[in-house]
Amino acid sequence: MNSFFRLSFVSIIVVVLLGSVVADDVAPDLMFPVPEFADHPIPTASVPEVEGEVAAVWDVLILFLALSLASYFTLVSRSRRNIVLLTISCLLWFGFWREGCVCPVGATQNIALAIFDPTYVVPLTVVAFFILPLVFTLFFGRTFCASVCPLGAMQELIAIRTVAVPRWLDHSLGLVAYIYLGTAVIFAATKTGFIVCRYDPFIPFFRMGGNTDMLIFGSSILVISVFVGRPYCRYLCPYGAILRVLSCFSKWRLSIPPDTCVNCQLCEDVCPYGAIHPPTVTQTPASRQHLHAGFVR
Amino acid sequence: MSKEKEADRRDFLADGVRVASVMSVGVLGGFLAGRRGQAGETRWQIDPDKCVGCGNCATYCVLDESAVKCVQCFDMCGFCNRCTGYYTLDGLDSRDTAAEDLLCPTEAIIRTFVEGKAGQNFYEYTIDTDACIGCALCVKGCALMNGSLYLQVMHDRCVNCNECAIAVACPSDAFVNPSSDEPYRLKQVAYGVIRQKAGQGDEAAQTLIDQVQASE
Repeated sequence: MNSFFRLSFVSIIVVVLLGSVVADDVAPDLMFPVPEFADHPIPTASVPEVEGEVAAVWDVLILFLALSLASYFTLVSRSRRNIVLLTISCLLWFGFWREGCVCPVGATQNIALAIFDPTYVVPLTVVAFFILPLVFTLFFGRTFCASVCPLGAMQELIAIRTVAVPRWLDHSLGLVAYIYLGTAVIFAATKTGFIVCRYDPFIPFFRMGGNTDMLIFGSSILVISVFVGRPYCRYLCPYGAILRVLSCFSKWRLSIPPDTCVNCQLCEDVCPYGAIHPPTVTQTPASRQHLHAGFVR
Repeated sequence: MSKEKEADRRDFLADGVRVASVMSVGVLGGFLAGRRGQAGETRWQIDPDKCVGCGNCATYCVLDESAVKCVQCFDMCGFCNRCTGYYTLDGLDSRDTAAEDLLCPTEAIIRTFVEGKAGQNFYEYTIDTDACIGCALCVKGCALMNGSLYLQVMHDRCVNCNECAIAVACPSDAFVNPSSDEPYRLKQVAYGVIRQKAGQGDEAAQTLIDQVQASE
């Protein structure tokens, strides 16, 4: 009799314990239990699926098409009108419609982070956005900057009262871009932050909203770019710094043949970006010693 | 003659650098694409067990309308008449639906009568996602009771920024990076019951479980 009670007591404890374990697994411990309704099953809220993957593939295709068109307009048809039209289209698509993301300038940081952090997985779109303009630059020059980049387009279209920047200042400020590139890579690789995105000048305009820092910085760049052609591209853009180096080795590019140039300097005066330099004097082995010009043209 | 020779050397060097650059860019792309095979892409998400309902989600998102919205976990809801997620503390007594008595600033919580049982009325609280601004007032209110309301980043809206502006501003470090195949989270206590519902053939629960990272 005694053993029977003990057995039943133990089995009750086991059942209670088991029950509590099952209950812990399923029913949440709530302050107010979920009521059981006669004819109303408890619904489950739904959350939306991930969107935007398809659009990203289109972005890469459009980038490729735009780069090809830009190269064609620059090198073959030499049509300034078409280049401006392409600039405006790219500004509308990559800038205002896709809201400036993903862009090769920011992609530099994703690539840096992906190289240094194996756990970070960089989307293929970002890799394509980083690499396509690089390859195009190696063959056709910086056609990406010329008419595809929405950041460049913003400055290009309002550069109406440009003044010449002295060569020494232009060159010195141009070095800031390399420092910015290095800083951006270090900040991204150490997962400290994506500073190029945080201080992107025109994202607030593309998105019609942004924090105060961004708006002040972007507005300043806009105001400056009325008087100084493309200040962000020339003195800050970290991706432009990479392209600047690569463009020295591009296969086909616009150049002024020194043999036929009459040195009228009209083009030099009219270039809003100070990109055209007077023809260098005929080089002698002596002048070459001073590295007036490297092996690049 | 010597001039031509110089120009040739220059071209040769430029060609060499170009070929090397194209090759290294190709290697870089292949390296990154190959590393991609080891893991999936990630999205931003809020771990509801870490969220403190500070309200930053409503204002810090780069989108005009925040991608963060409230989600109701009905399996954690008490269907209370005196709902602290729906009413302000003053409104709990009067329980009318005047705006000053409701927590939600955009009337995104829809209250529908379900059943009267044992002298108690039970109401269902559904979130109108389009109206919700992710301010977390209801989340904070609900936390006084069952805590069935929680915030999630909605991935039809989120643009998946490199650096999520809300994650930077989040005071409780609640932002996590789940894979884009399972970009949502559940409260830890709700996971079991949702999985059980899915096992019983509830399609909505199964869909939700498929979107949620398996509990560790």
